[in-house]
Amino acid sequence: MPTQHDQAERRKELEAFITQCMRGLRHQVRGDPEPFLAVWSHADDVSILGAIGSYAQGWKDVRTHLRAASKTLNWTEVAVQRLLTTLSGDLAVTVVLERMSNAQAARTLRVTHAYRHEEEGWRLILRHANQVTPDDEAREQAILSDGSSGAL
Amino acid sequence: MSTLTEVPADLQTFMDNLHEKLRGHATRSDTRPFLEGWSHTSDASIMAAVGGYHVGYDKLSELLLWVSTQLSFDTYEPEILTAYADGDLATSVELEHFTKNDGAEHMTLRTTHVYRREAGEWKLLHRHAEALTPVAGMNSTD
Repeated sequence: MPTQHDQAERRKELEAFITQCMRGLRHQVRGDPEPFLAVWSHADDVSILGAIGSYAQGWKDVRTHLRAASKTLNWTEVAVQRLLTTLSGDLAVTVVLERMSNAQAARTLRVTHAYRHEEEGWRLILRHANQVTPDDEAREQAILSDGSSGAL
Repeated sequence: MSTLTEVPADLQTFMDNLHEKLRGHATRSDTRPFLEGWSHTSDASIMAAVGGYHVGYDKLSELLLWVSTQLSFDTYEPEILTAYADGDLATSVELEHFTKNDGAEHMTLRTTHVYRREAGEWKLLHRHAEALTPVAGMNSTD
C-alpha cells in the first residue's frame, strides 16, 4: 500500500512528465515527431485516437501514425488548458484543451491522455484528440441555454 | 513490451452494466439509468460526439438529457479495444457501433471512458467520443 509520501512523490513525478510530454507535443505539431515519440510507452497496448482521424494500437502502429500525422502539421504556438488530472497507483489521466496557432490559422483540440508508471518511470499510453470547432461550441451553448436549439 | 491490463471483476461488471445503460440512452431515450452510472462530482466531464466540452455533473447531465431526445438508433454495440486499470482508476478505449432503419444507416464512434472508484463503487468520470473517420492506410471499420 503506497504511503501518502509515495503518492505525493508519484504526483510530482507525473507533473514533471506531463511537462515533458507538452514539450514533445510542441515538436510533434511542428513536423518533428521524435521528442514526442520519446515519451510513449513501447507496450503492445498503447493507443492513439489522433486528431487526424482513425486510430492505431500497439507501439509500432502508434509510432507510424504519429510520424505520418506530424508531417502534415506546422503549428508554431501551443497553449494547454488543464481540465482534469486524476491519479491512482500506476495510472493517471489528464483531460485538456490544446490551443494551437500559426500565422495563418488556429485550432483547439479536446484531448484525453492516459499515463502509466512503468519500470523507466511515467510513460504516455493513450492520446485521444479531436478538434473543437466554433460551430460546435456555439451549438452547445444554444442547447444549454434554451434546451431546444442545435442538431446532433 | 506487452502489459495488457486485466480488468478487475468489479470493473468488468460495471462496464457491462454501463453498456446496457448506454443502449437505453441511445436507442430508447432512457437516459436516467445512464446518468446514475456517472460520478456526480464537479470534476466529471464530457467531450461528447455532439461537440464541445463540459465539466461538472450538472452540465454534462443537462447535455446528455438533451442529446437523448435527438437519438433514434435501433441498435448499439460496444467493442472494447483496450482497457487500463490500477488502484481506483481505469480507462477503456472503445468503438461504439450504432445502426437505424434496419441497418441502412450506421455510425461508429471512437470513445474513451475514464472510470473512478468512489466510496467503493465504480463511476464514469469522463467520456470523450466522436465519429470515427477512416484514414487511408490506418485502422478503421470500413
